[in-house]
Amino acid sequence: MRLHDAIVLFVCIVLAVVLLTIAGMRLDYINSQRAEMKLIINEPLENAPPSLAFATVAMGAFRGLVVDALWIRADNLKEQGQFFDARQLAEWITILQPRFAAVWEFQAWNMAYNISVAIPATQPDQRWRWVKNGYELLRDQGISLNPKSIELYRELARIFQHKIGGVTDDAHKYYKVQLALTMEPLLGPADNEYFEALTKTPTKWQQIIENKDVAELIAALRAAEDVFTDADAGKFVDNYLALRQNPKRFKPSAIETIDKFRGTPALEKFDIFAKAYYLRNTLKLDPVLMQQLNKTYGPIDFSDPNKHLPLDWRHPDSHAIYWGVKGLKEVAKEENREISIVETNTDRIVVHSLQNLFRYGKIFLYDVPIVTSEDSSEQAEQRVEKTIYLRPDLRMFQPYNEAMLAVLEKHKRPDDEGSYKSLQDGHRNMLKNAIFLFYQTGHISEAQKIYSQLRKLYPLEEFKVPLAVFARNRFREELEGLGIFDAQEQIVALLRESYFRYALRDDDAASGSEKLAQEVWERYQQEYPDEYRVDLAKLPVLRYLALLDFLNDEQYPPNLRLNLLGRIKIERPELYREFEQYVEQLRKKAEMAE
Amino acid sequence: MRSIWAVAINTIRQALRMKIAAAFVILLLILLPVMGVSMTGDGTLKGRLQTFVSYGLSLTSILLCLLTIIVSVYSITSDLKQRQIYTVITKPIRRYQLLVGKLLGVILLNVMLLVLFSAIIYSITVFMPRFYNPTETERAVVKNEFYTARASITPPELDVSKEVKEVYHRLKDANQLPEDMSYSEIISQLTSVRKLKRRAVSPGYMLPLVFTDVKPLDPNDSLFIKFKYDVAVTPPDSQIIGRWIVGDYQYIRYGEKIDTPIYDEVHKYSIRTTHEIEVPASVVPANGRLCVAFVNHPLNNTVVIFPLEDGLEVLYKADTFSGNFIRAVLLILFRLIFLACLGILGSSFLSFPVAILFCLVIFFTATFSNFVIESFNFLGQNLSGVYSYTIKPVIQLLPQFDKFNPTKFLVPAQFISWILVAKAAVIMVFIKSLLLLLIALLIFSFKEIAKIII
Repeated sequence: MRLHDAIVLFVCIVLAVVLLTIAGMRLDYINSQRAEMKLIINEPLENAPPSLAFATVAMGAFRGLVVDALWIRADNLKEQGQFFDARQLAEWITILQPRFAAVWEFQAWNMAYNISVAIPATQPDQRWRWVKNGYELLRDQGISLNPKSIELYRELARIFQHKIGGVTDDAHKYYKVQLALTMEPLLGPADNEYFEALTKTPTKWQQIIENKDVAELIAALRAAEDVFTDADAGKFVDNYLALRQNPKRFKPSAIETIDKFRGTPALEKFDIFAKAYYLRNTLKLDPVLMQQLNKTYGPIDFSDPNKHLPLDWRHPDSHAIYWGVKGLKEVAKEENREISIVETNTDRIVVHSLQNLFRYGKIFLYDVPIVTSEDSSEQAEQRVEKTIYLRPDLRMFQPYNEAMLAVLEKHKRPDDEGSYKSLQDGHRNMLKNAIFLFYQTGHISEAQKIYSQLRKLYPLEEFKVPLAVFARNRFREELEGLGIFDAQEQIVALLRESYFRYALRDDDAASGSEKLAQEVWERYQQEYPDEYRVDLAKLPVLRYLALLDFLNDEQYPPNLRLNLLGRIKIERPELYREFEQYVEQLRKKAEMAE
Repeated sequence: MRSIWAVAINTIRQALRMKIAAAFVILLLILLPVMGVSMTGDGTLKGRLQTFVSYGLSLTSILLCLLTIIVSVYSITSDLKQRQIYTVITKPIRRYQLLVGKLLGVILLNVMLLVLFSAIIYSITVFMPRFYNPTETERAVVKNEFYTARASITPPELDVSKEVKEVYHRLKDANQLPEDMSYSEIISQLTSVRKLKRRAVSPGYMLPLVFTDVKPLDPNDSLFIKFKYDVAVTPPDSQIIGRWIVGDYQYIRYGEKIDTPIYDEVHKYSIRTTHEIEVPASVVPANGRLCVAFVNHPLNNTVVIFPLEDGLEVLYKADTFSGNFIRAVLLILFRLIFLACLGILGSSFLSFPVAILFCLVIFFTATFSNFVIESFNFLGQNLSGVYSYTIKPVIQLLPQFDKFNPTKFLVPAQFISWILVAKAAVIMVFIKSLLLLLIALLIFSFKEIAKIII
């Protein structure tokens, strides 16, 4: 070897050794960082399907490069407004990085939030598809591969609470309706006995078919309709539920089979099994946990305050509670843990969802007939769409309060004063709102109980007055700064709201709104001198105006508005008479003007 | 010419005997139909088609590029290594004829394979709707937004140089120029700010933009306004309400009586994402001067800005999907010709593995050139400076494959004009490929054939 070549070789060897040593010295630090950020993939994936296990191992060192390329492509397409590939890319990225929770979280959020709003609000069905894609990614895949990552449970709960349950998205009502329609057929009578039955029914297909009667029913269905013949457990259950909801889509023989078994224990047993199976395997909701949540967080029965009724599982906040609690249960298995900010935020999501159920937990699903044919000469085609209204559910206050107190106790630590204080502020404001709402709706004793608690927990000056004074002060705060014209507007709005609730048969709330309207009117009668009083019309006139407003308000379906008139005529004849009297007066005035 | 042709035929035969060529061909023949069935995209027919075309063409392009590199390098290096070249060189054939013959053989092979696979992709794309039973809405969407070729017109370039100079002198006189920036950097920033200001709309105000030479093929068809909102202050729901008025400039600006209809609708769309509004093509006046006016609804309570690069453009049908597809395939062919010349160059002075590595580095750099150049801007200033004066000029000399990426056009149904094809041909084939070929010829002419290369 020539001297020149030898020197070059020597220098290269020395350089290689030095660089390798430096790299080796950094390795410990890098590994500890990876452990901290939970990026270690040395542990084999638990229960992963073979294809997934293969994908994560086969690429070896190139996996990082492929993942980078996929992320670049996903980001570029997003910048260009192209979403045709978003779901596929999300799947591939999550296949290649299955243990990196942030990836699942990001992809789900991207689909549910960014991609869905890129579609115009005039296509709510398309928007809903992307919101569903987002939460299904977490629910069906992310969580099953990362069962201990509370971030994923939190994100899933947040999508239900904020995206579906909130009001910032133009299509939020559509989302709520779709979720409610999905859940409604599975909830039966939705009482405690039903949920008890759901928990006790067999969990596996093999177990249910051991029952001879049920086996007979299954055999009969398989013989009656092709879709049942070779179907596996999952498909059979899906088709059975579809048959029960929409029998016209199936052959008459299948409907006859159901009729034949109607009322028999076999059909009842299988029905419960099918619903529980669907909840467990498709919607990933465990009936056992659902029942536990009903018992802990369900609305209280006013006739027996120790009894909890089931949560309304049509409501998105019930699902938010489910996933939030499930995540909290996972982290709670580690007893000596430090409470992370993610855990605190998950606690917040649960209590906020309970708060939301108090504020608007009562669901009213209303049928709206839609005429689809544009040509008036043809017989107009009608189809029915659903619309949804949400109203307060006062029964949810106690579960919220108990949960909130438990969370406050959990976060009462010297090193977490910031979180504790913010939780307290939220609790205090909620108590104030609840007292006012209970007071206005006539539940004075309940309002007093809450007020006593408020004074005990938060001994501030503003609470050292009797309940009635507190309510009046609170009422005055709400009305402060309103001029006489604003008062008229407010009274009419409150009356209109009461008629709307009356039309929905939410009589408690209707009565509350009407009472509040009356109080506002009386207040202004007392406070303002005569020359201003002329501008504030008499209460019956305002009632008439509010009723006219409601009857002319296109946002409410026509049949809802007509139903109201019918109900007023029968149940509130005095109001109808007042209404009639002014109609007559106005008609006479109009004739005189002509 | 006969010698060149003979070498070309032999090169094709040699390539077809290669196992790797057979492997690539069989792989594509299996994968393309499987992809046509398995790719679902976002579940809609349009999504399926876009995903299939995007991945199908990309996969075909990548595999053919790799095959081209391997075949072009192997055809010469194997002859050199196995001394078979002695039997050819000693014949009455010039060295340049040998190289050109090899190149011609590789190009002809590429043409054959490209025709075969693009025919498969085209057939699957055209017949896919028959297998999925789409709704009428999906068919209409696909007809307007995929099975077409839409020409894009952007607003005219804004000339703000005079304003910028005035502002610069004003700042200079007031001693307010930033000290750490050079003259060109200041001018560039001021220009960008001025241009964006011309594209900004305050609440309650209107921004009219005129597009000239708009010539849709069929007035009964539709044209599309493609836009992206940016905002000064993000609204709570990240959406903007905008009134779009599209039609004759004379009416929109001056209220004059006109013959063509006016499109006037209010829409609500999310910010920082590209959207498209469909407008009847009948609104375009005879002189092709189309005005697109955006009114920022007062409820928005924020200034709306249309980014300079991709903020606003008008798309209208200029050709059919088939014509566009053929031009897209030509773009791929130009890429393959460049790589063939690159392979010939590499093999003229490097051994097989080194030449392959050399070609692959150039290929991947050219494929990600835009991304690489943009990423330099995110490095620290010193490091960025080093890269900007060394690697960046080299990358810019390479053909930017991502700029002429055919899927970038076919997926959003964007028209590939013959001018673009000609531009790609001139840059990739007539300039860069020819340059590589000339260098290869030069090297090979003076190469000592019998010398052993490590």
